[in-house]
Amino acid sequence: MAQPLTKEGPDPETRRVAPLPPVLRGFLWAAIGFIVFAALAAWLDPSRVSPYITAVGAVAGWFGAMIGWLLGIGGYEHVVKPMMGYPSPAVRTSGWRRYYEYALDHKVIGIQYLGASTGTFLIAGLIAMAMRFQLMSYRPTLFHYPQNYLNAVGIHGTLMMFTVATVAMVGGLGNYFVPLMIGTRETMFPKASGMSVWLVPLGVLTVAMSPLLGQWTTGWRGYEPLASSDGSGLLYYYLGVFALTTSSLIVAINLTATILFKRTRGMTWNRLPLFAWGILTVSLLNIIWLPEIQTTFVLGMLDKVMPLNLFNVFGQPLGYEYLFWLFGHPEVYIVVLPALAIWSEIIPVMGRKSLFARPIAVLGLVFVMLLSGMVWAHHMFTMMRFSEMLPFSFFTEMISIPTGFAYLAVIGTLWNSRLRLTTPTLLVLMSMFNFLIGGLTGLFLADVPANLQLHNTFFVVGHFHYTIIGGMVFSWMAAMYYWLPKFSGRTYSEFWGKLGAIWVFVAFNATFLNFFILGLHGMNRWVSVYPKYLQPENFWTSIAAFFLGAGFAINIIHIVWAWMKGPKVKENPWDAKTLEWRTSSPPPTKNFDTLPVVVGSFYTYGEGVPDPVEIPVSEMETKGSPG
Amino acid sequence: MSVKSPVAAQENGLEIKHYRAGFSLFLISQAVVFMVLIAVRYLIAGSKVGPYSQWLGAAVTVVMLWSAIQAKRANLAADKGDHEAILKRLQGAFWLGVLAFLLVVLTWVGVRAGGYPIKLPSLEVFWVATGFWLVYVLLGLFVLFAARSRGIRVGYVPESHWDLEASSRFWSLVALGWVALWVAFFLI
Repeated sequence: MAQPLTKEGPDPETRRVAPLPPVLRGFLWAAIGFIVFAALAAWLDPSRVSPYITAVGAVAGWFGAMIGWLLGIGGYEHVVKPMMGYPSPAVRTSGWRRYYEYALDHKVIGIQYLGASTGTFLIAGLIAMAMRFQLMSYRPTLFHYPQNYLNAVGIHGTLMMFTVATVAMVGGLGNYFVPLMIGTRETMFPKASGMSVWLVPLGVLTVAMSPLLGQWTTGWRGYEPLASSDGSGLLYYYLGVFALTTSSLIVAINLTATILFKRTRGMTWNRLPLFAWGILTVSLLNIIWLPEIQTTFVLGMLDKVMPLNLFNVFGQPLGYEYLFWLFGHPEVYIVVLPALAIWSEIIPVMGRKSLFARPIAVLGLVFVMLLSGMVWAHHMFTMMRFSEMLPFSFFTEMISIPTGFAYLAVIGTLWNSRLRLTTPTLLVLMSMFNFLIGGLTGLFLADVPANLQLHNTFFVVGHFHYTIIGGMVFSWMAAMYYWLPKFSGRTYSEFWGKLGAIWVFVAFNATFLNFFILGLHGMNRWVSVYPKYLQPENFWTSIAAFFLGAGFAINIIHIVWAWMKGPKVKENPWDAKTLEWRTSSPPPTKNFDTLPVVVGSFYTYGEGVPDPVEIPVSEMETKGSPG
Repeated sequence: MSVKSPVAAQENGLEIKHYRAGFSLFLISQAVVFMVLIAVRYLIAGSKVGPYSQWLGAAVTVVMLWSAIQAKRANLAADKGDHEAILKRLQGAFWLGVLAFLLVVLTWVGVRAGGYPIKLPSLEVFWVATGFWLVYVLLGLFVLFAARSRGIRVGYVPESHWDLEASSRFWSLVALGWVALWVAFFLI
């Protein structure tokens, strides 16, 4: 059945039916691109005895594949040809096929990002299960060589950090909801956004398939000089991350410009929704730090394929570590800031109580953003002079203050509220608890003497899983349940929602609280075998981890079921005030028939509080601009 | 896109300003790349200047600045609606860019011909930084080519030539990126 098409370009009639679905054409063109570029590399190779696929050829071929993939998926007709003056073809605006091809609608793009990050979460989760299966025994069982295990750890970490943690909240929820929440019909750069999402599957496949080129053992950090002695699979780690970070960079630029310039009338900075503030602060961090890590990784890659001596034992391995952690620690806040913002978004709605100290909550996000670039060297206390440790220790402890502002706002809001204990509420409270544990153990690790003892133990692994899984993933789940009626016009089962939330909360804490104990008992990171006395604790930790994996699967199945088949629900079931609830569910292609005008705060509740939104009657008033 | 009323013109002007500011975010992000390259240059090689031709480095700087000025003038010509000048300036910017590309390759050839060890730290950072820059040149040349093709096919009008302006701005970043590398690698 023919699907409706939007008229985007001057001559949509010129649209031709592609002989292949875009994804299949993307794969075909990617294969052709790989073959052509690898052949070019082989042709230019001065050594005539090299095989067809060399390290250089694999890198060149990857770039060819990337170009082919992006052109094949729709970049050729929708981006490259219009750049040269050809008309843009029409874009599908309804039906399931629109999720599998180039799109301009930020909501479709948001769902594409959410699908990609959820799929990757499952892949990374399965790898985690395999790791925990190995760690049930102190001897090799599943992974017979330590390199295999370390490679699994690296792929798990890379996919979780660069695809799930960085992408789900910003690329997924940010793309879908920020334009709705600020009252605009589209993002600032929809064409770039429509392309950027397709870099995610490319990046995920590249990282996941990287061991085919040879094992790499550096974890998600690509640490030098270990990287220099690793297999060529590391090249695809660098390239996969390059694709993923390019995608996130485009999202950051697009959403920042959208928030700056596309707000509807009356949407002043004082009225900007907290989630939009969270996305703005994260995006500013991404705009600075993602190009930094991309450059570092490309240099690391060149170091291997040229080969040079930039970061290996003959060069400056510590320099790589500096450059990595310059990005690496802001990355933690890139992951967490949207989660902190989600708390302030959900709790006032569920408590029917005005958000406590809203300016402080916003300042907390801003100061976390500002301080996040000043704490990075606490990851390197074991390789620094004492004199250098103090400022980084100081700022690491300082950053807990603006982080505490987010708690202050939510706890102040909870105080004396008549809280509706729904699934999103429960998950926010769980996320706050988890992040508190992560934050408190972070204070231990910021303290130099404790850090020197706990470095490279499971205590550190427990700490960052409490912040990232406990903080971000729980908030992501809260947001998914909260906004499910908006996505689909349907809702979930409170019973299954609460059961799923309690399940993952119990299993999560049973798993990762044990990590602290294991760490204190001497369990090292980066090992697949360990002293026998640690086996009982590891065994029960793994059992809890399997329950955790099952819990996440139950929640995902429940959300997908509710999205497709859940009971229909009224358009604003939470009686929330933000603008995304002022349009139908799911929202129409252009979001609003008439752009709303904001006249008050979204977070003020109480008797006699006027509606913060006005809908202009006249069509003349529908052109929005920042107030 | 033609503009038919003062209100529409004002809105179009505001929209262009927003595009300009949004695009600046992209340019800022790419400026970070050059900052990292310069940081790595001092990290790896200290303040040593490698054995590459100072003359060729200066020549690339002059050619790139000239090229960027041509691209900027194409944009100014579009403000006046001078179609012929737009195409001429873009063509000039493009070929000067090609010349700058070849001059950098010539610098590489000169270093190799001088018999210096490839892994000299000051040369290693030179290879990678200029290699990065050459990739930006290729992207910039494609963008200039696309802008010219669009100019031939659909033309630009004074009220609306954002595609051309974006190309010119990106090309300016490439030129300024070279100037930063030139100062860091050739002068100090």
